[in-house]
Amino acid sequence: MFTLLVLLVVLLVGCLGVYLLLERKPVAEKVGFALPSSLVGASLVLCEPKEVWAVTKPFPLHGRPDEVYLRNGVLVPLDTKTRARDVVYPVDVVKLSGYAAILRHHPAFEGTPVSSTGWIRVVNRSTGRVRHHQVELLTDNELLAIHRRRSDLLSKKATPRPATNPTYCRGCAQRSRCPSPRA
Amino acid sequence: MNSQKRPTSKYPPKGSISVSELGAYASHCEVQALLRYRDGVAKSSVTEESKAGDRIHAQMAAQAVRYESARRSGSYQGPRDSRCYIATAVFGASAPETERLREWRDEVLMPTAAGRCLVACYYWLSPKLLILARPNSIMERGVRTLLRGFVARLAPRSEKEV
Repeated sequence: MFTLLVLLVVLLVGCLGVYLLLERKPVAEKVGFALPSSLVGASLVLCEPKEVWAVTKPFPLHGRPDEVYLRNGVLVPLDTKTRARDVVYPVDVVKLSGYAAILRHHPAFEGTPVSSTGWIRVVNRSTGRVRHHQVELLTDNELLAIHRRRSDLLSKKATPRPATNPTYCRGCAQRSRCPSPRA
Repeated sequence: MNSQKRPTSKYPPKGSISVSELGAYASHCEVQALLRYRDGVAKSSVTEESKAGDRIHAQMAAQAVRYESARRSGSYQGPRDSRCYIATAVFGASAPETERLREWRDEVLMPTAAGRCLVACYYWLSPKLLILARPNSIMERGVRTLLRGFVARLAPRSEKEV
């Protein structure tokens, strides 16, 4: 009798598990459009443009911002990332800051201030969960410093820094061509 | 936006660097950035992951356009569900803590069946529990402290006003 009861409970739990698994909608359906609460009501001024947005200040730079919103007269850039983990990397902040620099210096947005913060939307590749992260954007001078470093590396005035973490090297697409792989 | 000054070219001007390339030089490995962009052209392979990323990007863009047309026509209602009984009673309907808890509900709980079940149970139970959070009672102070701790654990970021 007891064994039967245990089996029944196990069966019920199993059925519930299968139901919950089947109930999970495919990622494409589950990714709902979400905005950070502070951007709700803001107007969308730019969204995945086909044309390239280029500026000459602070240095020749071009890109296609994912989404740009106008909130209280201030432009706010938002970039979408699809990741396995909910994480924001420094490279994301630099890219978003680059888009902000383009907005600051492009004649199409002349006279419209750009926010000192932007948003990174991270969509989880497997679960479809959407999270928003507000980040402080880099200034023109900070972007110029990265640009100068790039120039130094290209002209071989500086030695490139390899990754410090071997795990990063294991997943690197350039590993076969790398002169100093760590793993 | 001044639409007359909007760019028309699909190709970048010569000598200009892309935002992606600039970002690569701020990543974990400068060697990788050099290898990838040395010739001025990104060398990346099209993987299943990048295809999935492109699909989600296209989906987000389409939804952003729908959001904008709904906002312009006045049919955009904002976030669908503004209920959050206990947090509203303790902090107020538009307090940052209440907003954060609503976001957590929509982003973490609502995408899964188990989460939706939990939210439904909470909505059934919480009006009955509001009696515990009478204004200025010891219980209300206790609930506020507990919720503040929970919200602090939820998000290291803060919703800064732009």
